[in-house]
Parts: sequence; structure tokens; C-alpha cells
Amino acid sequence: MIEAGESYIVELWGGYDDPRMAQLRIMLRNAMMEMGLIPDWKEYHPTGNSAEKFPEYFRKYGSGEIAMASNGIIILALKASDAGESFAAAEMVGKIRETAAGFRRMNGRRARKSYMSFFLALGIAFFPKCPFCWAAYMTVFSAMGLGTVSFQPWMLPVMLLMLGLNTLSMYFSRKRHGWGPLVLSLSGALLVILGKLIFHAVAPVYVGVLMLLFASLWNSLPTRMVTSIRYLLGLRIS
Amino acid sequence: MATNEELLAKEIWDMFAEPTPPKRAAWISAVQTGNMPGMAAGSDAIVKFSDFNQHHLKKAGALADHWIALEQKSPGIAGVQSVVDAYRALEGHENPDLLLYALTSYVTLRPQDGFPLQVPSILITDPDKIAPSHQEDRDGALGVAVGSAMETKMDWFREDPLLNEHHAHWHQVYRGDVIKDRQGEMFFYMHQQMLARYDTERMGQEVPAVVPFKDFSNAVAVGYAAGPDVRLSNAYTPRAPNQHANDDFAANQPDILSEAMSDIASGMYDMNASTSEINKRETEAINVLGGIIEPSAAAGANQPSYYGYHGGGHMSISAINSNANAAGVMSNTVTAIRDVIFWEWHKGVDEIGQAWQDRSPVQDLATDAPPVKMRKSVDAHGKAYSADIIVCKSSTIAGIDAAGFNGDAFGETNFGGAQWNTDFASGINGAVSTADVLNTKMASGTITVSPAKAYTYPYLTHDPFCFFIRVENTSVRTLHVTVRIFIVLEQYENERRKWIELDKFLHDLKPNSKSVIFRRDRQSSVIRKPAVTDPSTHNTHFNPDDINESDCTCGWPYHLLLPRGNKTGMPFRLMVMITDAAIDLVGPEPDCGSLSFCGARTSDYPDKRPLGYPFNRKFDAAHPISATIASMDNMASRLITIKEL
Repeated sequence: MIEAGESYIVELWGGYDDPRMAQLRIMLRNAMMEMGLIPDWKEYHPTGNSAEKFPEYFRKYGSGEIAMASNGIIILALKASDAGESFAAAEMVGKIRETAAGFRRMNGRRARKSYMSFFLALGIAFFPKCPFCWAAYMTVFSAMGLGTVSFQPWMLPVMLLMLGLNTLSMYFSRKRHGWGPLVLSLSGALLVILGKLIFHAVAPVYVGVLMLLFASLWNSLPTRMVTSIRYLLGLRIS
Repeated sequence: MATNEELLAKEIWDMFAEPTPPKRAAWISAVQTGNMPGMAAGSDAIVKFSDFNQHHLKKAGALADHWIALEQKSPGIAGVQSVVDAYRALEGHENPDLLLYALTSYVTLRPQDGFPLQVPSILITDPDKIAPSHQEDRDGALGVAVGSAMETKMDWFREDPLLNEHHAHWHQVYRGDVIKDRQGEMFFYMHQQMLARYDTERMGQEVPAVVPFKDFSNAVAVGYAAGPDVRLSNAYTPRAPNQHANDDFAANQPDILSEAMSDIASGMYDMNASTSEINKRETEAINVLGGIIEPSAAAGANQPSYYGYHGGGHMSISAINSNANAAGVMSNTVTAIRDVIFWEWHKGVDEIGQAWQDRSPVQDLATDAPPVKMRKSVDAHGKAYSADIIVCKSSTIAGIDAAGFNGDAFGETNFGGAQWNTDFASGINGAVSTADVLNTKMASGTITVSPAKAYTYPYLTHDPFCFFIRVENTSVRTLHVTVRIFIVLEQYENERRKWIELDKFLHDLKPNSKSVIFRRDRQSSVIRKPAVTDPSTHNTHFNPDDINESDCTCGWPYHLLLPRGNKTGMPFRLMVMITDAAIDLVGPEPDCGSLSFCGARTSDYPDKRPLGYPFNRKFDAAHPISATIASMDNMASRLITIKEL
């Protein structure tokens, strides 16, 4: 039995009355029950009237196709032609069982992946971007009783590397919240680089850093929390 | 020692209990002979009172309003006593049925002032009008069929005394000449729910669904004769099968129905786009149409040819085979639903409301769904199932009737916390027994028409039940939510107008919490409160301790809350929907909570959403109700079997 508080999200894409969906539901139910889980999933149907609310990772699938996602990652997909004998039920059962078994392990690994980009952005935000910044940090650190370290030229390529890693992390987790965090992160990185290397201006650097932080925060929040925030914002606006 | 208030309340209770048939006979005789003290011969004496007749209704309504004003002049004992005196002064000078209607209206609509009055059970006020039709001479004395052999299978429902009382009382609460919030919309909704239940019950008895009667150029195929006591009480005449209505309304009915449908189709009653709030746009538009069709004050100044269409049909049908002194049961809200044609006529009226609803955009439930989640999957047969809708028979919950029993805490202990991830489909789980079958059974009561004459009648009962609903609040704030519970015969699950409202109530969900919501059947917002668990004895004797101003005397009878099912067990789909009360709520929930069909006594209807939400609009044909439930986090459903013992 999984512990109270653990969470997993299974989503299905497919025609509500598609006979394969009916089969898939029962397989999924049985597999989850075998793993000691309460069977639970959310369904998206191509004919539903809320197409704009379909998760990004399902949008490439069309009518007649079936897909299953676990915590935002597609783990099974069937084409419209995958019917009848070509519908590999045994293979699906295996995948579903494997997925169900993975629900318990997912949380720790997933949390590390989710929060990595946020910590990277935090690092970038507080990484000394100039000798003056460094001096400012050192003043604060001194006030806190810490020693002083002088600004080093190697810090610039390290910062660029961290920006790259942060952007890459956003790219790899784009299926969770879509392209929004990645675009925001790229824009922020561009502003930091332009401000630092081309315009030598402080304002774009800080705006860029804020964008990086926001993108990372967005990316690291659970999907349902983002949905909730969107809902609350929607209420405020309406 | 009774107080003066109690003695006066009893006097009024006794006024209702006085037998009406002798008064009615005396009145008819007085009118026919012109022997009416205080009334000039040939003046406007009402012989056959009908609350569907707009002239009669206005007269009775004016009298009730006058009495309310009279009491307000000197609130308290003196005011109520002046009303009693005024009533007594009119006896013998006014139609006794009109006087009783006005007195009922006065008690129903008078402001709450700490001096509670009560109308007795219909078993006491109108035993002559509710006597069973099927005893003694169903096809006998007058040679008139009671519906048909098949239709008599539904006598238990149509002739249920408290159901008849509900219908009459609802029409008192929503009296046509009184302005009450969303009356026109409620007219459509309450009758639509009656039809949904009737069709469901018919399926249980293997009787086909009601076929609408909507063309008066055809004969009324079904006949109806009320029981002998109903007829002989000088109130009602029987109707033989295959009779034509032949008054002016009947002559024009096909045309005016056609005009109504044409106006709806042309967009005359479409939602007013200038009203900013979507729910208001919808409820205001249907309210006007409902007001016109019923008719009621909700119609405002609108009086097209089909104004009063519904009431006109009642009068026209009741006039078939009527005589100078009496008309058919369709002429009165106390008796109308006994007649098979009532349901056929109302289904035709209901189609007008449905035509309006079907012009609205397809239902979009996702836009303002709150961030909550109920788990959903399928059962072993692949049918939609939610482990978060848990049903129990109340008898299996220890201490449930004890004062101070905390159902939410009980639910949290047994179904939440460490039990959150346990499925309680049915059976004994630890200390609690959950159910996937609910039982009903037929009981019998007694109607005493006179000291020498009493009848037994059948009525439905059910084993008390309760729900435990598990809901996760996935947001970071406290959510004030509305919980909406519906049930439908499984075979009807994609027919939106067959869904039956079971309950609607408010609940708070803590931020990021997993809550278990407890709710008993007797708390239902659909039923009158307190729940009448024994309809055959409730309010049949005056007891001042039973009178409470905060009671909801308006509402569906508790004993009919659950459909009857059948002996083999019928599968029903139970659906729970959670909506955001920050969007739904107009004001505080009324104390007694019988809001579904009756609203709030002195304030606006508490729920901003259109009545029957989410089934108030059509669903996308390509994405029916069952698919919609599967795709919404804030909706879940499961099957439950209802089996008659």
C-alpha cells in the first residue's frame, strides 16, 4: 500500500467509446489494484469541448489514437491502426504494471528533477556578475562575518555554463508545463548575456535574472499547483 | 398548561381539520338557491374553486395578503386572532375551498414573527381528496376507467398523499401572483424533476415512459376517475377515456403552442447579452418564459398568446365531462397529479422549457471548475466507478442518531487519513459496513375520510442511508464549495433531463487537504424538513412541540427521496459534482436547507447557477454526460443498486 500523501497522476487520451479504451481502463484498474493502489486516472477525449485545456503532451494525438501519460510523461501510445490483433494487450499490461510499480519510486526522483532548474537559477541569480557585484556580496558577507574572495575571470564561462544547463533542464521537462518556462528561461538568459556582454547595463541583467527565477519556479511547481494558481488568477481577473 | 399562543395555533389547526365536503355541499346549495346572506343574487360567486383559474387565484391571493396585512397591524396574538375572526366572518359567504386556500396561503407566506402556525397533514385537511382511487369502484359505479390497467401500476406514486401535498404546497409557496425569486425558472425545474422521477419509477414498474400530450385536436386517450369519496365530495368529476377537450383553449392550443415554439426558435427569449454575469443571463431569460407559461408574476408585462398556457391546459382538461358544481381533478393543485393526464400534459409543457434550454450553448463545465479532485476509474465490468463516493446504510453507523454525532470526524477516522487509499466499494471494512445496494419497501398507512370510513394506502419507504464523499483540495487556499448530488437510472445516464437531484449543500475544504464529507439522506436539500419518516402519522395531531418556524414545510417527501427500484434490483448511477461556492452562492444557505425546490423563504434563491446545474443545458453530442464526468476532476460517479424488499 502506498503511503498517504504520495501522489501520482495517470491520464488517458482516447475516444470515450473506443473499445480499446474500455480494455485499457480495465487493465489499468487491475494493474493498479495489484499494486495496492486505488485505481484513479483522468481522461481526455478528442471530442471533448475543452480542447484548449488538453495538456500539451496529448495535443499531438488525434482522433482514433490512444495515449497514456504518467505524471506528464507519455508511457504508452496506440495509433488508430493499432486495433484488433495488432493491439498488443499483453505488452500494454506489462507497461501498465511497470508504470504502476513506478508510482511509489517516482516522488523522490521526480522531486530532484523538478527542483534542479530552480536551484540552478538561484545559483545564477546570486552568481557574481562583475567585480562590483562581487564587492557588494563581499560587503554583505563581511557584515555576516564571512571572509573575502576576489572576483575571478573564470566566473563568466561558469555562469554561461550554468545558464546553458538551466535552459537544457527546462527543455527536458517541457512536457510538464509546456513551452512557457523554457521560452521564459531562454529570454531571461538572453537578457543576462546581452546586458552583461553587449550593453554592459545592470537593468537587463536583473530583469533577466528575475525571468530565470520565475521560469524555474514555474517549472518546479507541481502541475496541479500551477493549475490551481491559474484558476485563482482567472477568478481574480474575471 | 397550554399558552394562549398554543391555543390559538390549535384553533387554526382545527379550522383546517374541519371537514370540507359538508361546507362545500352547503355552499353549492346556497349558490344554486341564491340563499347567500351578504351576497347579492347573481353576483360573482365561485362555485368550483380552482387555483389554476387566474380569477380565482387572484381573489384567494388577495384575501391571504389582506390577512397577512391584518396580522401585521397588531403582531402577535391579537393579529392572529383578528385573522381567525376575519376567516370565520367569511364562512358561508365565500367558497369554502377558496377560503381554505387563502388560509393556507396566509400561514405559508406570513412573515416569521416568533408565533409559529401550522397547516395539518393533508391526511387531515383533505382526506376526501386523497382517498385511493383503486378501491371499491375503479371501473365500477360510474363506469369510468381509471387510466388503464397498466397505469394503475403507478397509482401508488400519483396518489401518494404527501406527494400531492408537496405539489399543492409548492404552488402555495410559489403562488402565481406573488413575486418570488426565479419563480418562472423554478416552475419548469420542479415539474421537470417530478417528471424525471415519475419516468424512473415507471421503468421500475415496467411501464413505458410518459408520452407528452401536446395536441388538443386529439382526444385525451386516458380516462380518470378519482376514488368514490373524492367524487362524492362534490369536488371532482370523472373523465371517460378518449374524450376531447372542447373549450376555447382547446380550440386554439395547437396554434398557441406553435407560436410559443416559434418565438423560442426565433430567439425571443434568448439570454440577454447585456447582462454581464453568465448565470444571471441564463436564469433571467428562462424565468420570464416560465412566468409566461405557468403563468406567474415572473412574466412581468409579457402577455403573448401563450400566456398561461400551462394553467389553460389544466382548466381545459378538467372541464371535460364537468358539471355545474364540479370539474376534473386537474382543476386543483391538491389533486391534479393523481390523474395520468397530468404527467402527459406536463411533459408537453416541459418540452417548451427544454426547447429553450436546447438553444443555449453546449454546457462548459471546465471553465470555472474548482481545484478539487475525486478519484475515478472503472469497476470490474468496465463501468465508471469512483472509490471516493462511499454509501452506507445509516443503521450501520454506530451513534449516528446521537446528539453531537460528528459525521465528518467519523468519516475522517474511517475513510480518511490512513484509510484514504483504501477502496470501500461494499461490505464490512473494519468498524464500518458500506453498501452498494440500497433497499426500499412498500408500507401502508390509513386515510380516515370520516369516522365510519377509512382506507389503507401504500407508500414507499427506504432504508435510511448516508454518503461519505472524499475530496482533495489541490489548491493553496480554503475552498468554500457546493456539493451537488444526482442520481439516474443507468440506462438514462446520457439523458440530461432524467437526472434526479438528490442533494445540494455547502462545505469548506482546507488548503491542500484530503477531506471526507458526511451527508445523511434526511439532510437532503430536496426534501421538506424535518424529514417525515412516517407519513401516515406525521402532523395528524396537533402538538405545539412539533411546530417550529424554522422548519421547511416545502419540499419533496422524504419517503420518496430514493426511487423505488424493483424486486430484482435496478442499477442507478450516483454522481457527485463539486463547484465553487464563491461563484455559486448568492447568500447564506437557508436554515432549514430545503432549497432545491423551494429556495429561501425571505431572500433570493441561494444558488446563482441555473436550477438543475449541470443538467440545465445540452451536452455535446460527441461528448456525452458519461464522458464529461470521466474527464472532470470535480465530478465522479459510481453505480448503486436499488432493490425493493
